Amino acid sequence: MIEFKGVHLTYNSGTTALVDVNFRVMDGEFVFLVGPSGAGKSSIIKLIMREIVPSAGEVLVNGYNNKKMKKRHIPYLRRTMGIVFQDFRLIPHMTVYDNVAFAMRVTGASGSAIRKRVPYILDLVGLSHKARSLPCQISGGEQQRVGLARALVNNPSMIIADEPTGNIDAQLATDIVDLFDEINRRGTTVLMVTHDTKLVDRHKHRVIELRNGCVVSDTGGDAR
Amino acid sequence: MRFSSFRYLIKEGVKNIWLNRLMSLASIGVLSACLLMIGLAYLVSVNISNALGWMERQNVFMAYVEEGADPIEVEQVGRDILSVGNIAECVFISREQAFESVSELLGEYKYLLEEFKEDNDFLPDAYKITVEDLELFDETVYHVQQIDNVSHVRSRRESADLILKIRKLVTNIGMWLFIILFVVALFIIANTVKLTMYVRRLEINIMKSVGATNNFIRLPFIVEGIILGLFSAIFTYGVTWYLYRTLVVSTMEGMVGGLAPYVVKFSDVSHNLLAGFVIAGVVIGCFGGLISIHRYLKDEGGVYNVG
Repeated sequence: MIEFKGVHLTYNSGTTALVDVNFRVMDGEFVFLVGPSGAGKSSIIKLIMREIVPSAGEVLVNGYNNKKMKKRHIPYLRRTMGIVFQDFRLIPHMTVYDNVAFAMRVTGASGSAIRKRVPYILDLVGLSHKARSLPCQISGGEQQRVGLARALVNNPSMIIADEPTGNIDAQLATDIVDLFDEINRRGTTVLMVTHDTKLVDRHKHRVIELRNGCVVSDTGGDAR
Repeated sequence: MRFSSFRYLIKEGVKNIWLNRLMSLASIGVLSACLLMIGLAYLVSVNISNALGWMERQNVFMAYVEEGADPIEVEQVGRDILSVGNIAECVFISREQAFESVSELLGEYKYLLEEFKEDNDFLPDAYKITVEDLELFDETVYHVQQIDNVSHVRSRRESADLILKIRKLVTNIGMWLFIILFVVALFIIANTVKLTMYVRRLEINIMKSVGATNNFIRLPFIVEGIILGLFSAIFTYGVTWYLYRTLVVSTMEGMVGGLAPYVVKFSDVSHNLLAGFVIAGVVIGCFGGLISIHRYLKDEGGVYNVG
C-alpha cells in the first residue's frame, strides 16, 4: 500500500515540486499517474522509492515510513517493489536471461532459485525464446518486457512503472499495458506514470492527475 | 551471505579489472613503484642495523703512536697499554706492516699509495688492542687515550655512531617516503576503481533500484582494489628479489675489502618483506576501493542518476 499524507516537497534549489499531496493506493489496485512535464510525477516515484524525503508530510509505502525509516532499511523497502524505466535500462553486455537474473543475484538469491524463477518470468512476459539474445538484438517492445520481467523476478507486491510506453510505438504500448493488466490481475499493485491519454482511456483504471505539484483529480480511492 | 553470492562478487571484482585493464595495469605499475621504494628503504635500514650489530660485536680498537716517538717510547706504550687492565691482546703493527696490509687490500689499485710511501703521518705505528670485557670498552679506550705518546685511538664505536646517524636519517626518510607514497598509491587505486564505477554506473543504478544493499554494491570494488594490491605486492617482491640479488649482493661481495659480513641475505628478510608488501598492497587497495565507492554511493548513486 502507498499513502501520501499532506506531502510537500521543495528541492534544495528552491523549486517546489509537490504541494499538499494526499492519496492512497490500496494493495492490488492499478493506478495511472498522469500530468504534464514538471507536474511532480517523478518526484512522487522518488519519494516512493525513498530516494528523497518530503519537506513536510508523510509517505508510507508497504509498511515503511519514508521519513522515519533507517537508511540501511532502504534496500529492503525497494525489494517490496519492482521498477520499470522509460529507457529500459538493460545492461547491454548481458543476455536477456542474465539481465533478469541480475536482479535476483544482487539481492542474494541462490543459484537454484534463479534457475527456477527466471525461466518462469520470461515465459510470463513471452520472452522465453529470446533468453539468449542481447538487448541490442531485440525490439523496443521486447526490451521493455525484459525490464518488466526484471521488475517482477523478485516477486514484489507492487510495480512502479515510469513512462513504460514512452519509447515504443502505439501497438506495442497497448501490448505492454495489457501485460501490466495481466500482472495486476494476479494480485500485484501497479502504479504507472504516463503521458499517453489514449492508453489511459482504453484501460479503465483509477487515474490520479497532477498539475504544478498538486493532485487536481482522482477518479477513485479516497483522496482528501 | 551465501557462498554463491560471495563467488559472484569475487567474479565481478575480477571482471572489473579485466574491463578496465589498461588503468588496472597502470595502477599495478604505480603501486609497485611505491612499494618498491618502500621495500628498498626497508632493506637499506635492515642492512645498516646489521652492520651496526656486527660492529658492536667487534671488541677491538687501535691506538696510534705519536709521530717522532723513538723505538723505546713505542715499546713503553705497549707496556703501558697492558697495564691498563681489561686487555686480552695487544699487537704491535708497524707503519711498514700497515702499509703492506693496505696495499694488499687495494690489490691492483695499490699504485694509489705510492705517493704516501714516505709520509710518516699517513700510517703511523699502532697497537691493535682486543678488550676482554665489552661492557668496559669505553672505559678502557679512555685509559689508553691518556697514555703518553698515544696520539689518538680509533674504535669502531666512532664508525658505529656515524652509521647510527645514517640509520636515523634513512628511517626518517623511509617513514616520510612511506606516508607520501601511501597517499599517492591510495589516490591512484581510488581513481582506477572510480573509473570502473563510472563504466558500471548503469549496473550500480539497477542494483540500487532492485534493493541490493550498499555492502553488496561495495564488495566487487573492494575486491578489485585488493586484487590490484595483491598483484602489485607479488610483482614488487619479484623485482626487489632480482634487484637485491643481482645488484646489491653481487656488487658488495665484489667490492674491495669485502662488505659481505654487513650484507643481509635476501632469504633472511624475504618473509618480512613479502608479508609487508602484501599487507601494504591489500590495505591500500581495500581503502582505495572503499573511498571511491563510498563517495559515489553518497553523492551520485541514486536510482535516477545514470549520467
